Amino acid sequence: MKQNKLLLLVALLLSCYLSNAQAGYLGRKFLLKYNLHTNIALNNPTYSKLAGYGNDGWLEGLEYIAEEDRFGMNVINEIDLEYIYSRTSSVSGVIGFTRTSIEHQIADVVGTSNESDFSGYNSNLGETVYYKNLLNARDLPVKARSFSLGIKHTKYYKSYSGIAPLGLYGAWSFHLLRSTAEIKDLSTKLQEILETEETDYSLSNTTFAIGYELGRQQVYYDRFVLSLAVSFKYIYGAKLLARASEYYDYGSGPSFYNDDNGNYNEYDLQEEDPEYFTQESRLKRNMLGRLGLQQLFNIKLGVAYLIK
Amino acid sequence: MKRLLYTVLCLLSITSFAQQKEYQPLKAQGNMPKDFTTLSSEKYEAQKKKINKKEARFEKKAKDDFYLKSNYHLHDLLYSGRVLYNDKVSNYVKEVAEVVLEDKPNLHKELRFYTLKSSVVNAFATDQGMLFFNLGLIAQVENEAQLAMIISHEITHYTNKHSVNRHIEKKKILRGKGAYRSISWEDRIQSMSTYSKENEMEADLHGFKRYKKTNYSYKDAQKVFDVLRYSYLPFDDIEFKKSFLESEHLKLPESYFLKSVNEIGSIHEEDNDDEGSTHPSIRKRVEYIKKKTDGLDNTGRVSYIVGEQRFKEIQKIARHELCNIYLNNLQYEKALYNAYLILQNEPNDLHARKTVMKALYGLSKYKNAEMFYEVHGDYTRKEGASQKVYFLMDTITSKELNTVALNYAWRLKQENTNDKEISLITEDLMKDLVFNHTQDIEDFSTTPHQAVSTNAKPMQFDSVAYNKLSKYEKIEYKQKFKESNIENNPSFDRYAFVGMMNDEFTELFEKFVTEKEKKDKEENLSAEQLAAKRKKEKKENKRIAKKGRAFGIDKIIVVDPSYNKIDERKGNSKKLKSSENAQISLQGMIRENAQSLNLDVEVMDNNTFQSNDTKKYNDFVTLNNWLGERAVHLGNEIEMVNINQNQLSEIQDHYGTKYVTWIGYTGVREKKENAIYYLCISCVYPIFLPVGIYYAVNPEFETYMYCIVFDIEKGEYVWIYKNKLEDRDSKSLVKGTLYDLLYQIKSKRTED
Repeated sequence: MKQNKLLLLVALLLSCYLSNAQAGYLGRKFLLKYNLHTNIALNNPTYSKLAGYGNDGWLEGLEYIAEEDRFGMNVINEIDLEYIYSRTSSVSGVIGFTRTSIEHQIADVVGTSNESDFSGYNSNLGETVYYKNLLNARDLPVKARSFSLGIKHTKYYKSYSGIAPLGLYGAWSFHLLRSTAEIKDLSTKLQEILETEETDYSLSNTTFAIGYELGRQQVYYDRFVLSLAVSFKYIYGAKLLARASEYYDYGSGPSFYNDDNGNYNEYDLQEEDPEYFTQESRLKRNMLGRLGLQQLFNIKLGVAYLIK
Repeated sequence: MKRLLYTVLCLLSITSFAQQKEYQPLKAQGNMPKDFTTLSSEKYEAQKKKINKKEARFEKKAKDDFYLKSNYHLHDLLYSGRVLYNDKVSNYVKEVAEVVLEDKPNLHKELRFYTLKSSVVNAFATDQGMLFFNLGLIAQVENEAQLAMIISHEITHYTNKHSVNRHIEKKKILRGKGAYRSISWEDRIQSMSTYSKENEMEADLHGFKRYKKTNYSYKDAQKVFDVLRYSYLPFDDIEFKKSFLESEHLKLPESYFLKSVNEIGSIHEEDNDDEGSTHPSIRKRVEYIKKKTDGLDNTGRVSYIVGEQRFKEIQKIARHELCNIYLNNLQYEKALYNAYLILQNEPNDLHARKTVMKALYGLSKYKNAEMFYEVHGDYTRKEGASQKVYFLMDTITSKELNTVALNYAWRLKQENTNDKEISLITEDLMKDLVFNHTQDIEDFSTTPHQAVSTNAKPMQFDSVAYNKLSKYEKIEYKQKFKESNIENNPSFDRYAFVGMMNDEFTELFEKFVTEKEKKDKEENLSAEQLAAKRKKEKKENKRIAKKGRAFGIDKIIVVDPSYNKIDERKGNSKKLKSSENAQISLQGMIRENAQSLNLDVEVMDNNTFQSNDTKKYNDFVTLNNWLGERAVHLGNEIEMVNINQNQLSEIQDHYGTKYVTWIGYTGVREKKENAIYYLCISCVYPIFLPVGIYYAVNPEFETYMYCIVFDIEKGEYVWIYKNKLEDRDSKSLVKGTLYDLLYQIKSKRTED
């Protein structure tokens, strides 16, 4: 099956090449491009910190600050093979890759609080509601990576250069993203907390994204292309802005949670679901939020080579 | 044997007489002069080096400015398609100049003589030593001596460096330097005019001194000013006869011809007051020369030194050329009368007869299209015999004019069956007649008109009396005249083709009737057909947007690719040096792109001509002149057969293609008008400061491009493309868009 797909792709490219469609800059139809997406994330879920009451990392209570603002520079690498099929339009296949790390905090239940009423909790639900565990917030270094496959349709503005791939352009794209978070070398204590026997732990998530970019390209020496663009991408499932800038409830369940079937749909979870507050769910959302924001708005620098 | 030889010789002479060779347009000959093959930038640099470093800074700057502008502007003139070199006229002028400069052979060598295809009676000299003589002047001067006087005058302009001095003086006046510091603006303007007139008087004086050294007649030195005084008139004044456009059965009404014409000098007043003019009045100049010649002995002085025969030959050429110039300039009435004058001496001259045909054709086309005002001169403002032509054209109806033109063309066609130009024009006139006036051939009689005796005489138009009438009296007079005309001349055009309506005539007529019916059908489509047509058009437009046009042209001539770089910040001035460089680069790109597309191109670029490119230059001139005329027709939405079709056919045969293109780019650096606004906004909202600074500092550009492709065989345009790009005219943009243009020209349609 894979072989057939490859053959189909080769046949498609060949037919494009052999067709008389010589429209485009000097009749060159393929553009192999490397893009570096970057944004300066001033407000960014690089670090998800639990916050609450208590001292020295010992927390009492359920309210946590989801994230702390951190300065960070995000980078996405992208390789793009563009086929110019008409004077002002092209289609591309895009492969993107990004890596990041998250300082994720998990909560370790170290005891049960005798406290039943916290200041600030002026609740009418009664004291019993607010007994909670004594928690220890532990930093958990998580490495996350994301791999994307996408297709893109680019339209070059006629009033600018009138010829692809030159001048101002706008492009719509669709991407499939596979994101993986990895926690390596879990200590015994962490294994215990996470209720796992593995020393490495990884969590994957697949989703899709829709993107639009607006940019400008210039050709040099008839072959080399430099581009500058701004790109926007919306990743389904990533509650981006909420994660980035607002307080958010993170779960404090003692373990990475799996339901009875061993899977659940992250996006269907509501706050009233017990899974919502699991540490696994929290990590997943944190990771998606992190990667999602990284994709949301980017300045994109590209270098490309025009191929006949 | 002797008898046989005699018979053969007789036969040969008869044949050569019968096949009278048509006048061939004047062309450049020999090698291209350096003035044409040297880049303007090189000429400028060479002249710049000659500026004396010890001169005042202001003068050095003014000279530098003059050399820069004059060299580039001269280049434009040289390649305007109107300048000829080493042609018969230029060579003749050079010979006369040799007589004038007999004592100064080095100066003669220094000067270059060129013919300018212009009907204006004028000549001028440049600071670089180029002397231009308009064909209008050569056609009007009466003899060699008069021409010698003009040459002497122009040489003085060169030797006394009038051009550059005038430029410096003008700058001084405008900037109020030196003596002009404390004078009013009006006085400064006056000073400019005075300075120019002083130059002219100096040229007359020094020119005459030089002239005196020759053996030319003093009388002619005076008479030359008469040539200038009446330069607005045709080269002769001979009554325009009614019979000229008539044939055996086509008789024009008497009332279409003026009984009397305006006296010469009655309308065009001599400009005695030369205040504000660059030239002194003719009267003053005549008096000035008269003073100089009074008392001089004219004995033994002659009007011809190079030779009378030679002068007559050159003058004849100039007069023939005037026909072409007038036709090219759409001055059809002038062309008609000019040809009429030539035909008075040479009644069978084919070129003159064809000029008449073409002039009638042009007038008919414009009258049919109701754009007559574009080509018609006001007859009330004309003087002399030619006024009759203007009046006739003013009075005749479009159908009558179409008929008269077709009648003339048809007769010419019968005599010159192989002439492509005549055939094409005749067919087009027939087409116009059918499409605009009648689809019934029975509207034209096959039997001669039976004269009806009538006591009422047709009213004659008296222009002298007419001009004296009040506005309302004029309206009344015209109405009376029109009524009289209708009563006395019922449908004279009905009998225009009696004896001419053979099979060929009727077949052609019917062919256009069928075409007309087909066209009417296409114009009256049903709603469904219209919807289908629109759908098809929409589909086609979509295809063009995606893939571009596909003309499938394998070879094309690229004429005069142009590139202008404009700076809006400096009053839209052209950046001369960078425009020249860009143009050179453009022609290189055309060749390079065409090669990669396997498109065969012949580039005629005015910056890359070599000394042995005269043939190419002549073709360049023909094509550019043709385009100039064509552009005006296109602007007026008139489709016409080429006026110089035969020359175009030669070009087509020589280069092996019927497609010609004109490509051009203009890069404009725009004036930034909102920079302060952006900065102010940024100051109020500092977050926008980087954006504000970017917009304030970043220059804005626009690029304009055009491409016109013509089929010179049919005289039709194949493609007119123009575009405005909101981007800088970078090398990649020009190269990319140029490739796209050539790709569209070359590519063939693969599907319908």
